[in-house]
Amino acid sequence: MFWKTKSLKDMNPNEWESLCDRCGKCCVVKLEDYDTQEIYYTNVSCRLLCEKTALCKDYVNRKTFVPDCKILSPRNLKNLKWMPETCAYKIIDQGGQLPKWHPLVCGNNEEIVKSGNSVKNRVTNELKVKTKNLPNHIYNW
Amino acid sequence: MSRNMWILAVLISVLVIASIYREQSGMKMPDHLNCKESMFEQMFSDKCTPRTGLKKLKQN
Repeated sequence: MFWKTKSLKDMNPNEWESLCDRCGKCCVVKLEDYDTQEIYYTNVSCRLLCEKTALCKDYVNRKTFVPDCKILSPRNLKNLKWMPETCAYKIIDQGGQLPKWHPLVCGNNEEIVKSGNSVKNRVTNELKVKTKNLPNHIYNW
Repeated sequence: MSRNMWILAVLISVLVIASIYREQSGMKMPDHLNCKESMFEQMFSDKCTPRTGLKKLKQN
């Protein structure tokens, strides 16, 4: 229950990593409107995200293979406005409660899939989609 | 058709085929096309007003 007592910046690396629900929503390609700066999610995933597991294929070296990849930290969390509303880091930062399907709450990694909050088996890798076709893949997660 | 006209026709054909190929292959658009200003204008003013529409967010 460390997430109820500690702030994000006080968590150790293991606690920090375990807070991630592995939804994969932060790893989908996002589109931004030039005029309004509104962000649109797509059902196209980052090239490193495994479509079948919703996990990063090389989490440790992700920044090397995807230079645009943002390594989340308590310091940059507030600047990343596009993080999904269900993201545990965002919820804790805003003083909220983790949802019942979060692995730390329910104790397994299946509830998040059943609840429809995971991108597992629901995305296409960006290597298979042409950039010009991305607007056709806008998806409301 | 004169020789010069043939050369012009070939050049235009190459341009058209290259444009179609770029469109069909999904090749990345040159960065200068993302701005409203012409490439010439951008070279001197270094100004870029993004075109209306959606762009891929450079953050994952």
